[in-house]
Amino acid sequence: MTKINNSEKLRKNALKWCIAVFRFAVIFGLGFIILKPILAKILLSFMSPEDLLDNTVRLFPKNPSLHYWKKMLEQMWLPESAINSVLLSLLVAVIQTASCTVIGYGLARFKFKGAGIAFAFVVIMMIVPYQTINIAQYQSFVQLKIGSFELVDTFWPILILAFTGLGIREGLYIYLMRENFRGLSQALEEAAYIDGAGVMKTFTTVMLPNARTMMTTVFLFSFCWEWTDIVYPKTYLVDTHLLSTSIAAVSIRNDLAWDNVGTQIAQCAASILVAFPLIFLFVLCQRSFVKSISQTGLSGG
Amino acid sequence: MKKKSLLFEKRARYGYIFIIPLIIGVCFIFIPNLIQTFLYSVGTIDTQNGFKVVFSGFSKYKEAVRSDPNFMPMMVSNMKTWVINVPVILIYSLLIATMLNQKFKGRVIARVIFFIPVILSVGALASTDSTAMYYSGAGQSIENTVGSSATAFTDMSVLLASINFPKFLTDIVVNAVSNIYEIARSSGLQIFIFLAGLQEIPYSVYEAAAIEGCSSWELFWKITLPMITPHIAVNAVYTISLVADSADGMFWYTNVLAFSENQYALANAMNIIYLSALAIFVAIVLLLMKKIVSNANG
Repeated sequence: MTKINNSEKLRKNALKWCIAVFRFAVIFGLGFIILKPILAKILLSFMSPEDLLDNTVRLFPKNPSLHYWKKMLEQMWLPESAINSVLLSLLVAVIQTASCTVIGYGLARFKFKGAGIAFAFVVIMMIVPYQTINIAQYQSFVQLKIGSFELVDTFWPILILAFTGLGIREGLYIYLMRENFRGLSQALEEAAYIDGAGVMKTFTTVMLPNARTMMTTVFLFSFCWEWTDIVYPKTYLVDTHLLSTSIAAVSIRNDLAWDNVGTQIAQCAASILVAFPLIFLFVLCQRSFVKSISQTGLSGG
Repeated sequence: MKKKSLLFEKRARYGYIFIIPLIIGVCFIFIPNLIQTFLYSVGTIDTQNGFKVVFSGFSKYKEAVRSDPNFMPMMVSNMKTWVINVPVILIYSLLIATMLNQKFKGRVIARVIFFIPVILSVGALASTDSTAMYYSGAGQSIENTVGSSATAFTDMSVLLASINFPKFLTDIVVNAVSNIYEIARSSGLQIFIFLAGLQEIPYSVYEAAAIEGCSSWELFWKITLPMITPHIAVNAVYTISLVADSADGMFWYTNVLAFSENQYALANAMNIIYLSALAIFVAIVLLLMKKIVSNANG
């Protein structure tokens, strides 16, 4: 009897180990694939021009230098572009978080006529690629003048799009918000109504505190994606310097010719510079991020 | 009872107030622009008099499909990417999410790593990734590994073909392996959503089923899958939007046509064709999902 138990135990242990080894191999391998370009980018940006000619240099620079960083910093339009980027991303993130929370609540908690159609439009707006209606949308903003004030080349088109749920992947935020509010218990609201609170008061005092985690998540996503977006700025902010659009504009010339390799490496350095605040933000909000990833998820708190 | 339902009906109207931003967006920006895109495609545009459109028939559609040398090949390759990448990304992210949901040391770090592409490999930052891999030699080594595994997979596909294994399935597998970086990069958010879904399933359900004698295979099909169907729907929609957005070659081509060669009508006709194909694809996916859900429930 004990013998059978022992072999059974052994078999189970072996299986457990096999699974653990397999899991480690898969996660480590894929993690490596994900991190490799980022690490490679950082190492590459510190190479000196001599390193690039040296065939023995692979990943690690032999003579680390700040050559490409210096060249890049001259062309990034700092601090103007940084101020513009912070301002635009913050504004868009605040507006998107607010309007997605409100829309998500409206779609999740009220059974009015046309709620289904409204939600279908959220999904459609999410799927239709921006580039396909680009031309018409640009034209409509060109024609939309208030007096002699032109909207194109100001923040307004992007802010209007953010407010109306047409920003970058904003349909997704509305969807997540809706799921979040749908997961909350009906009793919460009912208790508030019975106590005599109006619809607005119930929303602000009872429901909003329960959406805090999801609001942080949406805010962070929205900030990060606006920070790195080039699609809208390329259309509506052609003459404004932003960090994201400055990356592609960085270029390096040798005395006589265009330095193609150098340009690309300087762009790598630029993209690290642009990514750095995001990493900082990520570390700063890591707790609420990890919490929203690992504990609460979509529905509830 | 009656009074309560009346109260709720009255309350329901407040819903319109909450979705005012959405209503404005749909009615005044989204739908007019869709219609405008269509109008541009069936007319010649008089750029002298401020973008006035004169109807001129569907000739541009014919031109896009019949005589344009680049458009149809691009369309076909794009549609191929939809059909292959969407299921592959979904299955990949579900697998990774199940793995990250298990208890092991360092799982928080693993989760953060799988989430990193969502913020660091998008937009302006993504374009420099391939440069970095190429010049640091990292790209070459990845090419080498992929190259060798690709030859291994050709052997395998020959083997699979000899036992009448469907060819498109082997193609999908070979494609997925050689595009693993692309797939890992575009599935960060899907993993996050699946993980959240998996965590909502109470452990006691699994426990009860295991006591009843369910194998882990059955647990997955009978409990996990039905419980996360709503999340599969979100992820399917999001993945389609990602994949549809990434047809860079075609959008670049239509932009060149529109802005450098003044072929507004042709470019918009192509956009409309692309959108209609996308709509059909989404409809098929949603129908399939509905069928799967009803099968899982019934």
